[in-house]
Amino acid sequence: MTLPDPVALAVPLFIALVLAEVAIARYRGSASYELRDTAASLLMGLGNFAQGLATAALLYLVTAWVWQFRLFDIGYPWWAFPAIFVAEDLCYYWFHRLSHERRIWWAAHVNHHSSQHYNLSTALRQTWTGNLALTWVVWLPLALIGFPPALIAFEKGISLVYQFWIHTEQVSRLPRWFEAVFNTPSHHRVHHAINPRYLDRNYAGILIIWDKLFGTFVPEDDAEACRYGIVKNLGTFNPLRIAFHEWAGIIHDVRAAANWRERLGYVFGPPGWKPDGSGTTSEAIRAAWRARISAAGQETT
Amino acid sequence: MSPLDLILPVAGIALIVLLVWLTGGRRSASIADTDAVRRHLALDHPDFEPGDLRLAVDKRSALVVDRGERRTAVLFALGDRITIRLLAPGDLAGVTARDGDLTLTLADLGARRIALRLGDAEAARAWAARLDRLLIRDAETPGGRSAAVLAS
Repeated sequence: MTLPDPVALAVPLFIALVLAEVAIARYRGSASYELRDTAASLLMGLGNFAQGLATAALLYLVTAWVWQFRLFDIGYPWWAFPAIFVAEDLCYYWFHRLSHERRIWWAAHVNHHSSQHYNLSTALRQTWTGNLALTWVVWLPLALIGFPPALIAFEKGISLVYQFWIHTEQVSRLPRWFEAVFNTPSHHRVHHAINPRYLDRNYAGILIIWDKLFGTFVPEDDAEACRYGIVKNLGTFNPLRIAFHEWAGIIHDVRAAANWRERLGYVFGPPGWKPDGSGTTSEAIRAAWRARISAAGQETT
Repeated sequence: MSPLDLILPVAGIALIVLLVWLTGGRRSASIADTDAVRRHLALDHPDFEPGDLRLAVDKRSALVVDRGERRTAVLFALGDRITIRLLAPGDLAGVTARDGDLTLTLADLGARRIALRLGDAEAARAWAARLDRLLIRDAETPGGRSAAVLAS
């Protein structure tokens, strides 16, 4: 069965929607586009497209190799499509969560969060190093179960296309039933925010139910506006620096490490980890926030 | 893959950048006054208690030392946003004071060089001397070259 490439088909839609959002933001006076930030995001998207072309064949071969050992011959019956939809989305949740919780994968993912703006161009600020960091291993169990590699690739494309439109401040809230089941602009604004309340939450791809199931869901609070970016915001629009700064940070820390425990901690520990426990990890930031709130006699939820 | 698969994204990028530029996308953030410096810090680093503070004359950057002189914050404009870095010993690869301008070279690929227009040569020299303790020393520099020689 030949399946289309959803991302290639969606490129004209991406361009049209970004153009529309620029115009709407200007009309509403909520100017959320900055020239160099937008250019950097779009160039990151172009670089991601290029690295995808360069590594697609290899990834497909690895997936096909694993598929040889499949447990079931699923093929392409009608039920395989809803099944891969759910299964792929679960894989995405864990890929995404690990990309925030382990520095080696954060180094590949951080560029997506590196803009202090949140608009549709931010959606295109994609990784250049994710495939090199082997983040694709999370999806290999799908091939082992028996989903055909082409079906897995198709569903990954669907997920990427879905996640494009949720990178916007122009949509406030959607109907309650939709917000309850699906990832939405509101849920994803929380994910991109650095407020301690919101930090490293809402990892969902398409279905927000995974966050609710695994305890990582936080709703957007209208009383606390999202502040976007990363804990240590970048001082550059240079795509090369955006793509590689965290890798350089890892190399620097590993070279300065005193022993193997420290080296492993700098690579596989959470972002911000330090051997003496003084690092500004997400959990440390959240704990400090809770302590401040608690001292002030307020609620944290 | 057809040529259109490449031409379309490139043309789209050009079109979007043009529209953002035409709709006033080239903006620069500024820090109104010293109170604004404190507000930015309170938001991003609520545990940082501002002590000595110097706002650049172009209001695009600022330097702040906390009350215990333990930490130094540098605020700088990046496009239409203000970015903050807390500097610790070893974070600076160089400090240069020249004609009232202070240039910090960070040992950080994500924010390499920060220029502050202090507008006062003496103040720039004083801040350079104050930041000296944050420079990478020989033992910390993998190549062995002292970064401190960059300071003037």
